[in-house]
Amino acid sequence: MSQLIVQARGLCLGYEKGKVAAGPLDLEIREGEALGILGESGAGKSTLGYEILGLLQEKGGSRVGGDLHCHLDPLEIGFIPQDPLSSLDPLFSIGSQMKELGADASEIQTALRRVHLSLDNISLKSYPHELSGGMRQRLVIAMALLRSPRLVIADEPTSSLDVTLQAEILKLFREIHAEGVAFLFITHHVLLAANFCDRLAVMQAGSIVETGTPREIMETPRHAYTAALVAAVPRL
Amino acid sequence: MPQEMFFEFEGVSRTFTVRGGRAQTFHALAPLTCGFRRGVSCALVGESGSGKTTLARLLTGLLSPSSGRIRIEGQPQEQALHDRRRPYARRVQMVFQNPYLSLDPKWNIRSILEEGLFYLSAAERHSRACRVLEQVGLPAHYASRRPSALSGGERQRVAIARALAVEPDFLILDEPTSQLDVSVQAQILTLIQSLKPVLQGGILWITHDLALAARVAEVLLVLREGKLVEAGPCLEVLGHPRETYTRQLLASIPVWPPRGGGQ
Repeated sequence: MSQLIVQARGLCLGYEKGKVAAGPLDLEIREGEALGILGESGAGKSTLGYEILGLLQEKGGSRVGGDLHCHLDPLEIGFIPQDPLSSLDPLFSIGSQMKELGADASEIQTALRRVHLSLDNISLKSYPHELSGGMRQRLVIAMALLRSPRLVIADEPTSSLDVTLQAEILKLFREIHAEGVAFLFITHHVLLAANFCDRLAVMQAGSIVETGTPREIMETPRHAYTAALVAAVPRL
Repeated sequence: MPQEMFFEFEGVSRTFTVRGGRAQTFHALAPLTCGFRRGVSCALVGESGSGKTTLARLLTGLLSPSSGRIRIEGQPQEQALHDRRRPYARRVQMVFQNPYLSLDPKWNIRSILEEGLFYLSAAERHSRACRVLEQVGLPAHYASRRPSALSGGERQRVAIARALAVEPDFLILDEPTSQLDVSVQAQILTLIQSLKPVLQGGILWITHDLALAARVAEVLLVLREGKLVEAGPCLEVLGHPRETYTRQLLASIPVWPPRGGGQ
Protein backbone atom coordinates (compact mmCIF):
# COMPACT_ATOMS: atom_id res chain seq x y z
CA MET A 1 0.00 0.00 0.00
CA SER A 2 1.43 3.36 -0.91
CA GLN A 3 2.10 6.02 1.65
CA LEU A 4 -0.60 8.30 3.05
CA ILE A 5 -0.09 11.94 2.13
CA VAL A 6 -3.28 13.47 3.53
CA GLN A 7 -5.30 12.08 6.40
CA ALA A 8 -8.33 13.71 8.00
CA ARG A 9 -10.03 12.35 11.13
CA GLY A 10 -13.31 13.87 12.27
CA LEU A 11 -12.36 17.10 10.55
CA CYS A 12 -14.95 19.88 11.06
CA LEU A 13 -14.70 23.11 9.13
CA GLY A 14 -16.76 26.24 9.57
CA TYR A 15 -17.12 29.81 8.47
CA GLU A 16 -18.99 31.41 11.33
CA LYS A 17 -18.11 30.88 14.95
CA GLY A 18 -19.10 27.38 16.00
CA LYS A 19 -21.14 26.76 12.88
CA VAL A 20 -20.02 23.71 10.92
CA ALA A 21 -19.96 24.02 7.11
CA ALA A 22 -18.37 20.65 6.55
CA GLY A 23 -17.76 17.69 8.75
CA PRO A 24 -17.04 15.56 10.57
CA LEU A 25 -14.97 14.25 7.66
CA ASP A 26 -12.78 11.16 7.47
CA LEU A 27 -10.60 11.15 4.42
CA GLU A 28 -7.36 9.67 3.14
CA ILE A 29 -5.33 10.43 0.07
CA ARG A 30 -2.46 8.10 -0.82
CA GLU A 31 0.64 8.87 -2.83
CA GLY A 32 -0.19 8.92 -6.55
CA GLU A 33 -3.93 8.42 -6.05
CA ALA A 34 -6.66 10.42 -7.77
CA LEU A 35 -9.48 11.00 -5.31
CA GLY A 36 -12.65 12.62 -6.63
CA ILE A 37 -14.87 14.70 -4.35
CA LEU A 38 -18.37 14.73 -5.80
CA GLY A 39 -21.27 16.81 -4.66
CA GLU A 40 -23.59 19.69 -5.42
CA SER A 41 -23.34 23.37 -4.52
CA GLY A 42 -22.95 23.99 -0.82
CA ALA A 43 -21.85 20.43 -0.02
CA GLY A 44 -18.54 21.73 1.37
CA LYS A 45 -16.27 20.39 -1.39
CA SER A 46 -14.28 23.58 -1.92
CA THR A 47 -14.08 24.25 1.83
CA LEU A 48 -12.30 20.91 2.21
CA GLY A 49 -9.93 21.79 -0.64
CA TYR A 50 -9.08 25.14 0.93
CA GLU A 51 -8.32 23.53 4.28
CA ILE A 52 -5.87 21.04 2.74
CA LEU A 53 -4.23 23.94 0.91
CA GLY A 54 -4.03 25.86 4.18
CA LEU A 55 -6.11 28.69 2.72
CA LEU A 56 -9.31 28.28 4.73
CA GLN A 57 -8.47 31.09 7.17
CA GLU A 58 -7.70 33.33 4.23
CA LYS A 59 -11.22 32.59 2.99
CA GLY A 60 -12.77 33.56 6.34
CA GLY A 61 -13.20 30.06 7.71
CA SER A 62 -11.52 27.93 10.31
CA ARG A 63 -11.09 24.41 11.60
CA VAL A 64 -13.70 23.78 14.28
CA GLY A 65 -12.63 20.30 15.30
CA GLY A 66 -10.82 17.11 14.36
CA ASP A 67 -7.38 16.57 12.87
CA LEU A 68 -5.82 16.98 9.49
CA HIS A 69 -2.40 15.47 8.86
CA CYS A 70 -0.84 16.58 5.65
CA HIS A 71 2.50 14.85 5.09
CA LEU A 72 3.48 17.27 2.35
CA ASP A 73 5.33 20.53 2.29
CA PRO A 74 2.89 23.31 1.28
CA LEU A 75 5.01 23.82 -1.84
CA GLU A 76 4.36 20.23 -2.86
CA ILE A 77 0.67 20.98 -3.38
CA GLY A 78 -0.48 22.55 -6.63
CA PHE A 79 -3.84 24.27 -7.00
CA ILE A 80 -6.00 24.59 -10.11
CA PRO A 81 -8.96 26.89 -9.54
CA GLN A 82 -12.25 26.90 -11.38
CA ASP A 83 -12.10 30.05 -13.42
CA PRO A 84 -8.75 30.65 -15.14
CA LEU A 85 -9.59 34.27 -15.97
CA SER A 86 -10.16 35.38 -12.41
CA SER A 87 -7.26 33.37 -11.04
CA LEU A 88 -4.67 35.15 -13.17
CA ASP A 89 -3.77 38.78 -12.54
CA PRO A 90 -4.98 40.81 -15.53
CA LEU A 91 -2.32 43.49 -14.98
CA PHE A 92 0.75 41.26 -15.24
CA SER A 93 2.10 39.35 -18.21
CA ILE A 94 1.93 35.58 -17.92
CA GLY A 95 5.73 35.36 -17.90
CA SER A 96 6.02 37.60 -14.86
CA GLN A 97 3.28 35.67 -13.07
CA MET A 98 5.19 32.43 -13.65
CA LYS A 99 8.48 33.97 -12.49
CA GLU A 100 6.73 35.19 -9.37
CA LEU A 101 6.37 31.54 -8.40
CA GLY A 102 10.16 31.31 -8.27
CA ALA A 103 10.69 29.48 -11.53
CA ASP A 104 13.55 30.07 -13.94
CA ALA A 105 13.29 30.09 -17.72
CA SER A 106 14.01 26.39 -18.20
CA GLU A 107 11.50 25.34 -15.52
CA ILE A 108 8.87 27.52 -17.19
CA GLN A 109 9.58 25.86 -20.53
CA THR A 110 9.35 22.37 -19.05
CA ALA A 111 6.05 23.17 -17.35
CA LEU A 112 4.62 24.67 -20.54
CA ARG A 113 5.71 21.61 -22.52
CA ARG A 114 3.92 19.33 -20.05
CA VAL A 115 0.63 21.05 -20.82
CA HIS A 116 1.34 21.06 -24.57
CA LEU A 117 1.97 24.77 -24.80
CA SER A 118 5.23 25.88 -26.34
CA LEU A 119 6.86 29.25 -26.72
CA ASP A 120 6.01 29.04 -30.43
CA ASN A 121 2.29 29.39 -29.84
CA ILE A 122 2.34 31.42 -26.65
CA SER A 123 4.34 34.51 -25.75
CA LEU A 124 5.37 35.04 -22.16
CA LYS A 125 4.80 38.74 -22.75
CA SER A 126 1.10 38.25 -23.42
CA TYR A 127 -1.59 39.04 -20.87
CA PRO A 128 -4.24 36.59 -19.60
CA HIS A 129 -7.08 38.16 -21.63
CA GLU A 130 -5.14 37.58 -24.86
CA LEU A 131 -5.33 33.80 -24.47
CA SER A 132 -8.27 31.56 -25.27
CA GLY A 133 -10.15 29.85 -22.42
CA GLY A 134 -8.48 26.49 -23.04
CA MET A 135 -5.00 28.04 -23.21
CA ARG A 136 -5.60 29.96 -19.99
CA GLN A 137 -6.67 26.81 -18.18
CA ARG A 138 -3.61 24.95 -19.49
CA LEU A 139 -1.44 27.85 -18.35
CA VAL A 140 -2.93 27.66 -14.85
CA ILE A 141 -2.20 23.92 -14.86
CA ALA A 142 1.38 24.63 -15.93
CA MET A 143 1.68 27.05 -13.00
CA ALA A 144 0.34 24.40 -10.62
CA LEU A 145 3.00 22.00 -11.95
CA LEU A 146 5.92 24.44 -11.68
CA ARG A 147 7.02 23.29 -8.24
CA SER A 148 6.74 19.58 -9.15
CA PRO A 149 3.83 18.97 -6.78
CA ARG A 150 3.05 15.53 -5.31
CA LEU A 151 -0.60 16.50 -4.92
CA VAL A 152 -2.71 18.66 -7.22
CA ILE A 153 -6.00 20.04 -5.93
CA ALA A 154 -8.28 20.84 -8.86
CA ASP A 155 -11.50 22.68 -7.96
CA GLU A 156 -13.99 22.36 -10.83
CA PRO A 157 -11.15 22.74 -13.34
CA THR A 158 -13.30 22.35 -16.45
CA SER A 159 -16.69 23.75 -15.57
CA SER A 160 -16.10 26.98 -17.51
CA LEU A 161 -14.87 25.14 -20.61
CA ASP A 162 -16.51 23.59 -23.69
CA VAL A 163 -16.81 19.82 -23.98
CA THR A 164 -13.92 19.40 -26.41
CA LEU A 165 -11.61 21.49 -24.20
CA GLN A 166 -12.84 19.55 -21.19
CA ALA A 167 -11.81 16.31 -22.90
CA GLU A 168 -8.41 17.86 -23.68
CA ILE A 169 -7.83 18.91 -20.06
CA LEU A 170 -8.91 15.48 -18.80
CA LYS A 171 -6.37 13.85 -21.13
CA LEU A 172 -3.71 16.17 -19.73
CA PHE A 173 -4.69 15.23 -16.16
CA ARG A 174 -4.35 11.55 -17.06
CA GLU A 175 -0.81 12.16 -18.31
CA ILE A 176 0.14 14.04 -15.15
CA HIS A 177 -1.51 11.39 -12.97
CA ALA A 178 0.43 8.67 -14.85
CA GLU A 179 3.63 10.39 -13.74
CA GLY A 180 2.66 9.60 -10.15
CA VAL A 181 1.06 12.88 -9.08
CA ALA A 182 -1.87 12.51 -6.66
CA PHE A 183 -5.08 14.43 -7.36
CA LEU A 184 -7.90 15.79 -5.29
CA PHE A 185 -10.45 16.35 -8.02
CA ILE A 186 -13.36 18.46 -6.79
CA THR A 187 -16.34 18.52 -9.12
CA HIS A 188 -20.08 18.24 -9.48
CA HIS A 189 -19.60 16.46 -12.82
CA VAL A 190 -20.24 12.82 -11.96
CA LEU A 191 -19.18 11.26 -15.28
CA LEU A 192 -16.01 13.31 -15.52
CA ALA A 193 -14.88 12.26 -12.05
CA ALA A 194 -15.86 8.63 -12.66
CA ASN A 195 -13.74 8.59 -15.80
CA PHE A 196 -10.64 10.06 -14.20
CA CYS A 197 -10.46 9.14 -10.53
CA ASP A 198 -9.27 5.99 -8.75
CA ARG A 199 -11.69 6.55 -5.88
CA LEU A 200 -14.70 8.79 -5.36
CA ALA A 201 -16.10 10.37 -2.21
CA VAL A 202 -19.65 11.71 -2.41
CA MET A 203 -20.42 14.74 -0.23
CA GLN A 204 -23.84 15.94 0.79
CA ALA A 205 -24.51 18.88 3.10
CA GLY A 206 -21.02 18.81 4.56
CA SER A 207 -20.62 15.08 5.08
CA ILE A 208 -19.08 12.31 3.05
CA VAL A 209 -21.97 9.92 2.56
CA GLU A 210 -20.19 7.29 0.52
CA THR A 211 -16.71 6.38 -0.69
CA GLY A 212 -15.86 3.80 -3.31
CA THR A 213 -14.33 3.03 -6.66
CA PRO A 214 -15.99 4.68 -9.66
CA ARG A 215 -17.52 1.31 -10.53
CA GLU A 216 -19.07 0.93 -7.06
CA ILE A 217 -20.43 4.48 -7.06
CA MET A 218 -21.80 4.34 -10.60
CA GLU A 219 -23.17 0.81 -10.61
CA THR A 220 -23.96 -0.19 -7.04
CA PRO A 221 -24.41 3.00 -5.00
CA ARG A 222 -25.20 2.20 -1.35
CA HIS A 223 -26.42 5.60 -0.17
CA ALA A 224 -29.74 7.00 -1.39
CA TYR A 225 -28.19 10.38 -2.21
CA THR A 226 -25.48 8.79 -4.36
CA ALA A 227 -28.11 6.80 -6.22
CA ALA A 228 -30.18 9.95 -6.84
CA LEU A 229 -27.12 11.90 -7.98
CA VAL A 230 -26.04 9.19 -10.42
CA ALA A 231 -29.59 8.82 -11.73
CA ALA A 232 -29.91 12.58 -12.33
CA VAL A 233 -27.00 12.66 -14.78
CA PRO A 234 -28.17 12.89 -18.39
CA ARG A 235 -26.42 10.27 -20.50
CA LEU A 236 -26.17 9.51 -24.16
CA MET B 1 -54.96 26.25 -41.37
CA PRO B 2 -51.85 26.89 -39.31
CA GLN B 3 -48.49 26.95 -41.05
CA GLU B 4 -46.54 23.75 -40.71
CA MET B 5 -43.32 25.69 -40.21
CA PHE B 6 -43.31 27.98 -37.20
CA PHE B 7 -40.06 29.73 -38.13
CA GLU B 8 -38.45 29.79 -41.54
CA PHE B 9 -34.99 31.13 -42.31
CA GLU B 10 -34.08 32.11 -45.87
CA GLY B 11 -30.37 32.81 -46.22
CA VAL B 12 -30.26 34.52 -42.83
CA SER B 13 -26.82 35.76 -41.79
CA ARG B 14 -25.51 38.06 -39.12
CA THR B 15 -22.23 39.91 -38.97
CA PHE B 16 -20.75 42.11 -36.26
CA THR B 17 -18.15 44.83 -36.61
CA VAL B 18 -15.23 44.26 -34.29
CA ARG B 19 -13.33 47.40 -33.43
CA GLY B 20 -9.73 47.59 -32.31
CA GLY B 21 -7.01 48.84 -34.64
CA ARG B 22 -8.75 48.20 -37.94
CA ALA B 23 -12.48 47.60 -38.01
CA GLN B 24 -13.11 43.96 -38.91
CA THR B 25 -16.25 42.10 -39.82
CA PHE B 26 -17.04 39.01 -37.79
CA HIS B 27 -19.41 36.50 -39.34
CA ALA B 28 -21.37 35.23 -36.36
CA LEU B 29 -23.85 33.35 -38.52
CA ALA B 30 -23.23 32.34 -42.14
CA PRO B 31 -26.23 32.45 -44.50
CA LEU B 32 -28.61 29.88 -43.11
CA THR B 33 -31.72 28.38 -44.64
CA CYS B 34 -33.79 26.16 -42.38
CA GLY B 35 -37.18 25.75 -40.79
CA PHE B 36 -38.49 25.08 -37.32
CA ARG B 37 -41.52 22.83 -37.55
CA ARG B 38 -44.49 23.67 -35.35
CA GLY B 39 -44.64 21.89 -32.00
CA VAL B 40 -41.23 20.23 -32.28
CA SER B 41 -38.61 20.52 -29.58
CA CYS B 42 -35.31 21.26 -31.11
CA ALA B 43 -31.82 21.39 -29.60
CA LEU B 44 -29.11 23.69 -30.89
CA VAL B 45 -25.64 22.49 -29.92
CA GLY B 46 -22.20 23.92 -30.52
CA GLU B 47 -19.30 25.39 -28.61
CA SER B 48 -18.73 28.94 -27.38
CA GLY B 49 -18.64 31.32 -30.31
CA SER B 50 -20.46 28.98 -32.69
CA GLY B 51 -23.39 31.39 -33.08
CA LYS B 52 -25.98 29.67 -30.88
CA THR B 53 -26.98 32.77 -28.95
CA THR B 54 -26.92 34.93 -32.10
CA LEU B 55 -29.44 32.55 -33.67
CA ALA B 56 -31.64 32.74 -30.56
CA ARG B 57 -31.50 36.53 -30.49
CA LEU B 58 -32.51 36.63 -34.16
CA LEU B 59 -35.54 34.47 -33.34
CA THR B 60 -36.59 36.78 -30.50
CA GLY B 61 -36.20 39.85 -32.70
CA LEU B 62 -33.66 41.34 -30.27
CA LEU B 63 -31.23 41.25 -33.20
CA SER B 64 -32.03 41.78 -36.86
CA PRO B 65 -30.41 39.75 -39.64
CA SER B 66 -27.64 41.32 -41.75
CA SER B 67 -29.12 39.61 -44.77
CA GLY B 68 -31.91 37.20 -45.56
CA ARG B 69 -35.42 36.89 -44.22
CA ILE B 70 -37.03 35.31 -41.19
CA ARG B 71 -40.68 34.30 -41.34
CA ILE B 72 -42.81 33.47 -38.34
CA GLU B 73 -45.90 31.43 -39.17
CA GLY B 74 -45.51 32.60 -42.75
CA GLN B 75 -45.43 36.28 -41.78
CA PRO B 76 -42.23 38.29 -42.38
CA GLN B 77 -40.56 38.93 -39.01
CA GLU B 78 -40.15 42.70 -39.51
CA GLN B 79 -43.91 42.92 -40.03
CA ALA B 80 -44.65 40.60 -37.08
CA LEU B 81 -42.49 42.75 -34.79
CA HIS B 82 -44.82 45.70 -35.41
CA ASP B 83 -48.06 43.74 -35.40
CA ARG B 84 -50.17 45.46 -32.77
CA ARG B 85 -52.81 42.78 -32.73
CA ARG B 86 -50.34 40.00 -31.94
CA PRO B 87 -47.40 41.47 -30.01
CA TYR B 88 -44.22 39.59 -30.85
CA ALA B 89 -43.24 39.13 -27.21
CA ARG B 90 -46.41 37.16 -26.68
CA ARG B 91 -45.49 34.78 -29.48
CA VAL B 92 -41.81 34.15 -28.71
CA GLN B 93 -40.25 34.12 -25.25
CA MET B 94 -36.79 33.35 -24.00
CA VAL B 95 -35.32 32.03 -20.73
CA PHE B 96 -31.76 33.20 -20.17
CA GLN B 97 -28.78 31.24 -19.00
CA ASN B 98 -28.03 32.79 -15.65
CA PRO B 99 -30.94 33.00 -13.18
CA TYR B 100 -28.72 35.02 -10.86
CA LEU B 101 -28.51 37.83 -13.42
CA SER B 102 -31.79 37.66 -15.31
CA LEU B 103 -34.07 38.64 -12.40
CA ASP B 104 -34.13 42.19 -11.04
CA PRO B 105 -32.94 41.94 -7.41
CA LYS B 106 -35.05 44.91 -6.30
CA TRP B 107 -38.36 43.48 -7.47
CA ASN B 108 -40.43 40.85 -5.76
CA ILE B 109 -41.44 37.75 -7.68
CA ARG B 110 -44.98 38.98 -8.20
CA SER B 111 -43.81 42.22 -9.91
CA ILE B 112 -41.34 40.23 -12.02
CA LEU B 113 -44.09 37.93 -13.23
CA GLU B 114 -46.63 40.71 -13.80
CA GLU B 115 -44.32 43.14 -15.63
CA GLY B 116 -45.15 41.84 -19.09
CA LEU B 117 -48.87 41.55 -18.38
CA PHE B 118 -49.71 45.27 -18.69
CA TYR B 119 -52.45 44.41 -21.18
CA LEU B 120 -54.49 42.64 -18.48
CA SER B 121 -56.52 44.07 -15.60
CA ALA B 122 -54.95 44.03 -12.13
CA ALA B 123 -57.11 41.10 -11.05
CA GLU B 124 -56.24 39.09 -14.17
CA ARG B 125 -52.54 39.86 -13.73
CA HIS B 126 -52.67 38.57 -10.20
CA SER B 127 -54.45 35.35 -11.09
CA ARG B 128 -52.09 34.77 -14.04
CA ALA B 129 -49.05 35.24 -11.79
CA CYS B 130 -50.47 32.74 -9.29
CA ARG B 131 -51.21 30.28 -12.06
CA VAL B 132 -47.71 30.32 -13.59
CA LEU B 133 -46.12 29.98 -10.16
CA GLU B 134 -48.18 26.86 -9.66
CA GLN B 135 -47.30 25.65 -13.16
CA VAL B 136 -43.57 25.75 -12.36
CA GLY B 137 -44.13 24.10 -8.98
CA LEU B 138 -43.48 27.04 -6.64
CA PRO B 139 -45.75 27.83 -3.66
CA ALA B 140 -47.99 30.91 -4.00
CA HIS B 141 -46.40 32.70 -1.02
CA TYR B 142 -43.16 33.04 -3.01
CA ALA B 143 -44.85 35.91 -4.86
CA SER B 144 -43.91 38.35 -2.12
CA ARG B 145 -40.26 37.24 -1.95
CA ARG B 146 -37.32 38.77 -3.72
CA PRO B 147 -34.96 36.73 -5.93
CA SER B 148 -32.24 36.82 -3.25
CA ALA B 149 -34.41 34.65 -0.98
CA LEU B 150 -34.57 31.90 -3.62
CA SER B 151 -32.13 29.16 -4.58
CA GLY B 152 -30.67 28.93 -8.09
CA GLY B 153 -33.17 26.29 -9.19
CA GLU B 154 -36.10 28.28 -7.78
CA ARG B 155 -34.86 31.40 -9.57
CA GLN B 156 -34.70 29.54 -12.86
CA ARG B 157 -38.28 28.37 -12.23
CA VAL B 158 -39.30 32.03 -11.76
CA ALA B 159 -37.55 32.92 -15.04
CA ILE B 160 -39.49 30.15 -16.79
CA ALA B 161 -42.74 31.30 -15.13
CA ARG B 162 -42.09 34.84 -16.36
CA ALA B 163 -41.68 33.58 -19.91
CA LEU B 164 -44.86 31.50 -19.63
CA ALA B 165 -46.94 34.33 -18.12
CA VAL B 166 -47.61 35.95 -21.52
CA GLU B 167 -48.71 32.55 -22.91
CA PRO B 168 -46.15 32.38 -25.72
CA ASP B 169 -46.28 29.91 -28.61
CA PHE B 170 -42.54 29.38 -28.84
CA LEU B 171 -40.02 29.15 -26.01
CA ILE B 172 -36.26 29.54 -26.34
CA LEU B 173 -34.07 28.28 -23.51
CA ASP B 174 -30.46 29.46 -23.56
CA GLU B 175 -28.44 26.94 -21.51
CA PRO B 176 -31.24 26.90 -18.90
CA THR B 177 -29.51 24.49 -16.55
CA SER B 178 -25.79 25.13 -16.98
CA GLN B 179 -25.64 27.11 -13.73
CA LEU B 180 -27.57 24.52 -11.77
CA ASP B 181 -26.71 21.33 -9.92
CA VAL B 182 -27.47 18.01 -11.62
CA SER B 183 -30.41 17.07 -9.40
CA VAL B 184 -31.95 20.54 -9.90
CA GLN B 185 -31.21 20.23 -13.62
CA ALA B 186 -33.22 16.99 -13.72
CA GLN B 187 -36.20 18.75 -12.07
CA ILE B 188 -36.08 21.68 -14.50
CA LEU B 189 -35.88 19.31 -17.50
CA THR B 190 -38.94 17.41 -16.30
CA LEU B 191 -40.75 20.72 -15.76
CA ILE B 192 -40.02 22.02 -19.26
CA GLN B 193 -40.97 18.73 -20.88
CA SER B 194 -44.30 18.83 -19.05
CA LEU B 195 -44.93 22.26 -20.62
CA LYS B 196 -44.70 20.97 -24.18
CA PRO B 197 -48.50 20.82 -24.71
CA VAL B 198 -48.91 24.56 -23.96
CA LEU B 199 -46.08 25.58 -26.28
CA GLN B 200 -47.83 25.08 -29.60
CA GLY B 201 -45.05 26.69 -31.62
CA GLY B 202 -42.23 24.59 -30.25
CA ILE B 203 -39.22 24.73 -27.95
CA LEU B 204 -35.62 25.55 -28.82
CA TRP B 205 -32.95 24.36 -26.40
CA ILE B 206 -29.53 25.91 -26.65
CA THR B 207 -26.88 23.78 -25.01
CA HIS B 208 -23.38 22.47 -25.42
CA ASP B 209 -24.31 19.30 -23.58
CA LEU B 210 -25.13 16.62 -26.16
CA ALA B 211 -26.32 14.21 -23.47
CA LEU B 212 -28.87 16.77 -22.35
CA ALA B 213 -29.92 17.40 -25.97
CA ALA B 214 -30.44 13.65 -26.43
CA ARG B 215 -32.75 13.60 -23.44
CA VAL B 216 -35.00 16.50 -24.37
CA ALA B 217 -35.02 17.13 -28.11
CA GLU B 218 -36.56 15.52 -31.16
CA VAL B 219 -34.46 17.46 -33.64
CA LEU B 220 -30.79 18.33 -33.31
CA LEU B 221 -28.95 21.18 -35.01
CA VAL B 222 -25.16 21.34 -34.76
CA LEU B 223 -23.52 24.72 -35.28
CA ARG B 224 -19.84 25.32 -35.79
CA GLU B 225 -18.27 28.71 -36.39
CA GLY B 226 -21.59 30.14 -37.53
CA LYS B 227 -22.37 27.33 -39.95
CA LEU B 228 -24.99 24.64 -39.60
CA VAL B 229 -22.89 21.49 -40.00
CA GLU B 230 -25.51 18.89 -39.24
CA ALA B 231 -29.27 18.71 -38.66
CA GLY B 232 -31.77 15.94 -38.33
CA PRO B 233 -33.75 13.77 -35.93
CA CYS B 234 -31.86 13.74 -32.65
CA LEU B 235 -31.37 10.01 -32.26
CA GLU B 236 -30.33 9.64 -35.89
CA VAL B 237 -27.69 12.37 -35.66
CA LEU B 238 -26.32 11.03 -32.39
CA GLY B 239 -26.45 7.42 -33.56
CA HIS B 240 -24.91 8.02 -36.98
CA PRO B 241 -23.15 11.38 -37.01
CA ARG B 242 -22.12 12.26 -40.54
CA GLU B 243 -19.82 15.15 -39.73
CA THR B 244 -16.39 14.81 -38.17
CA TYR B 245 -17.18 17.70 -35.87
CA THR B 246 -20.31 16.03 -34.49
CA ARG B 247 -18.30 12.85 -33.89
CA GLN B 248 -15.64 14.90 -32.12
CA LEU B 249 -18.29 16.50 -29.88
CA LEU B 250 -19.73 13.07 -29.10
CA ALA B 251 -16.32 11.60 -28.32
CA SER B 252 -15.62 14.45 -25.89
CA ILE B 253 -18.48 13.54 -23.58
CA PRO B 254 -17.43 11.38 -20.66
CA VAL B 255 -19.51 8.21 -20.51
CA TRP B 256 -19.97 5.34 -18.11
CA PRO B 257 -18.60 2.72 -18.46
CA PRO B 258 -15.52 4.50 -19.85
CA ARG B 259 -14.59 4.08 -23.50
CA GLY B 260 -11.92 1.55 -24.30
CA GLY B 261 -12.60 -0.39 -21.10
CA GLY B 262 -10.41 1.81 -18.88
CA GLN B 263 -10.60 1.83 -15.07
